[in-house]
Amino acid sequence: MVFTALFAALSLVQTAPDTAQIQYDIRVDGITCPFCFATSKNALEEIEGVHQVVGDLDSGIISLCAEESVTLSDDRLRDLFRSKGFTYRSATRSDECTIDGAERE
Amino acid sequence: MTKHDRRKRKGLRTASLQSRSVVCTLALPFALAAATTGVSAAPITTNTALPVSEDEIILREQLIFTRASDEFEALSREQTTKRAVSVAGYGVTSRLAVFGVVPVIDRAFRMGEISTDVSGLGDAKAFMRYELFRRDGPGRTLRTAAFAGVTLPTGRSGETGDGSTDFFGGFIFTAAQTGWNFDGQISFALNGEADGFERGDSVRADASVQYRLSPQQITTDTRGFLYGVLEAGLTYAEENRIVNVIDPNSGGTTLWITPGLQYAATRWIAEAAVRIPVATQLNGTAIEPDYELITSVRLNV
Repeated sequence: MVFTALFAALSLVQTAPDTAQIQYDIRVDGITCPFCFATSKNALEEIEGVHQVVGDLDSGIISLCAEESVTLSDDRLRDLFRSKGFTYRSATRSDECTIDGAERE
Repeated sequence: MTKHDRRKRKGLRTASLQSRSVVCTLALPFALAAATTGVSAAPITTNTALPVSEDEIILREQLIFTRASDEFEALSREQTTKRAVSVAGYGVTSRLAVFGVVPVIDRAFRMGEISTDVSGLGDAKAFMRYELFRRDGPGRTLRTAAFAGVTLPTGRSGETGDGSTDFFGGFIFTAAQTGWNFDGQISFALNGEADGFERGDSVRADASVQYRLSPQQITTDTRGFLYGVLEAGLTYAEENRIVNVIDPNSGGTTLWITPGLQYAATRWIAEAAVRIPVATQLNGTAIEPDYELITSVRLNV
């Protein structure tokens, strides 16, 4: 009985991240190199619930996976990228994460 | 003091002044280069291009080897200077950054049978840089910044330092895309007097192009860029003054060309370049530079 309950609890912990991930696609201007991108990536990954951050330098799009509870407002993103020396433009939120290889870290 | 001693002292003084001029041309740009935060592929011969985000620290360590030689009154002269230059920058805000530059110098000079070797802490610099303008687009940016700073007499006067407190400043322009960067800058130095010596004021203009050689296509797996770098710098220095008398064997104009390579990864940058004087018009018997080798590593803490 106890073993069954423990197994069920562990199963929930393991499957929870896969069912609760969303994706933000953030348009940021001024990022021109991997070195520049890294500073923004680190800042985004410090936000609790953010799991994976990837970037496309040519289009200026940074995509991230996060738990469903994570909310990234325009003001928050504007301040974050301004402190890194870049210009935040916009962000869109999707209900599922489609980043290749996205997984909870 | 014998005539020989006077000539030795004069030769050493001239060589020392000349090397200071070279130090100046290197150290000033520390306050220049890549205009502000967010642009990584900065010039190699200039330092203050260092991109520093708000509340972040950036470190750069440069190893610089300079050789100068010529014939002076039938005697061969040779001067080699090794410098380890440590640079640290801190982003106070997204637009304002402060920097410190501390050089350690080892300089050897030989003229005929006479040789000297001095080493130790050089003159440290502190400066701030403020971003005046920024226009960003997807994968591109235009920025301008102004900087101003002070050179402190932390070196031994007449050996590894000037002994004076000097001031410098200038403007930087940076245009960058994912495939290339351009940096242009103009700067000046107003030098003070100490122990009867006053180094001539100087002005310099620099341009640097960094072109991405690899990879040709950027993917999400791209971890770093390899840049080919070509820089040009024009330096003009007024004659020095010794006890308020103009030293005719100091100052002048030098045009440098500097090819190099730079690898920019996500958290560090490594680079190397050779600085070549393609045209010199130095005053009097000032020793002429042959070349300069620069290697550098930068870390984003």
